[in-house]
Amino acid sequence: MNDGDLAESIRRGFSQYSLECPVEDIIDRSRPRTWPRMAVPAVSAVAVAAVALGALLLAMPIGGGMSGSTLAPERAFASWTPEPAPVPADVLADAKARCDAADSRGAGLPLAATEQRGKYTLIFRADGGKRAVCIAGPEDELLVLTPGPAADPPREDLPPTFFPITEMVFPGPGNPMADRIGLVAGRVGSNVAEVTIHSSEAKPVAATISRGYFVAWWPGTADGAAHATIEARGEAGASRATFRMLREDTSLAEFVQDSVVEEPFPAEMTPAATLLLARADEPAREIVVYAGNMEGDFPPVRCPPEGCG
Amino acid sequence: MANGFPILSPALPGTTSSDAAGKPGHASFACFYRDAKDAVYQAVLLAGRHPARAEDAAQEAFAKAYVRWDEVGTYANPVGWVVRVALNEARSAARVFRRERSDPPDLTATPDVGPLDRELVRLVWRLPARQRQVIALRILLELSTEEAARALGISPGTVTAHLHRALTTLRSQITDGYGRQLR
Repeated sequence: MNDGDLAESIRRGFSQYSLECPVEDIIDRSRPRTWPRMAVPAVSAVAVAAVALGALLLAMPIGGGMSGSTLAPERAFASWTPEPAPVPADVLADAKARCDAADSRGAGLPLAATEQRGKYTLIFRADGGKRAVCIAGPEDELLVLTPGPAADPPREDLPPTFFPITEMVFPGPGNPMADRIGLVAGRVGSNVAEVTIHSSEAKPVAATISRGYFVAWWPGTADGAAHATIEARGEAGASRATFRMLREDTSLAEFVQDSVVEEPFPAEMTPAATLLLARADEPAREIVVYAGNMEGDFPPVRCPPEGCG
Repeated sequence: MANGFPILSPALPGTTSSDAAGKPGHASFACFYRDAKDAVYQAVLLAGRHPARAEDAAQEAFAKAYVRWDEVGTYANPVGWVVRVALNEARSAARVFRRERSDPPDLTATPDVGPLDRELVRLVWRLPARQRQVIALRILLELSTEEAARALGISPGTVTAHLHRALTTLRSQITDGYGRQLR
């Protein structure tokens, strides 16, 4: 068989693989990821679709419903800052009252983190498998994500771990806030000192770390959050790790955990939405990743035979 | 309290889908994309052995080409530019997600693709990385030795050497698709 025949046969074989993507999608993809100025009113009872990534045994739903969602158009975010600031007590009290009045389902959850970015106050509540986020802006601007169904028992005491971010949660495409803001929240090990969100939509966003949780948001989109890189840095000398999801539409297959300093984790996603991570010096870990619409029940957390810890 | 969450237009502010179609070079990009997309995808797929990553990298590379089509479209062979970008994209992703498929994705049986062709896909898939890259660029994309060398950042002589090794290996392993060694 000569080289020409060999090459022709290889080309024929590979001709079976094709890129099924219309040129319009490529052009859409080439556009900067900003959100449009024009808005038309939406119905209020929009189902909240969200994507949650739960690493190390945790699945944390956000968004069983949404109400009081009145964040203003783009210009209203002009005061937003990439660095969070503490929330003055009077501002926090006012924001809490407004958030709870808009949707009382988050009111009973303990505060996990609060932060101020410009004129916007974020309140992040967490308890066991429930999460609730509310962003209160000037005047009547308000965005509330209420808790979804409880999924898991509390796991509040995370030890220092080589896997610094142990949970990531963010609203996914289809959420009414999806084209307004990007938001990432989750849990961090106690050895994490800084979490920074890198996305194409904003300057690096410093997350607030509080009580074992991190949270950050920016004027952007759920798509931006889905493609963001989450960087966690430990105390001096500790490792740095980044996480990102490469493609939102194949999130089940593409969630990535990477350690820049150490060798990356070989990872393989099984069809059962389970990410297997393994390192030479540790046994393989089974990590459950959730993605999809947050309404309805979550599948049970799966753990390896030796347990979930 | 108003429930004023917006439903947002898919178009950028001030643009419509017809604006995109009216962009200078839009038609020529569409033609280029139509003609090159499968080969670029196949090349990145073979080089990285990760279907989803290859798809994402190829799409991203074409999107970047579209952004600068005024320039890229004037290149003698824009495919070389696109595949270089796509390979970089895939390589960047591979840095954090290294597990590759040990076997190629299933091939659908068609009259055009015989057992020998499928056997070759399987054998090429198992070649060392650099040899796969060279096969991808020289055979699937039909780039010249110099273009492949530029895309891979290696010398033309190295491209030739890897191609020779790859073809020699394939020739020594290939059967007729039914397990019978070809001579």
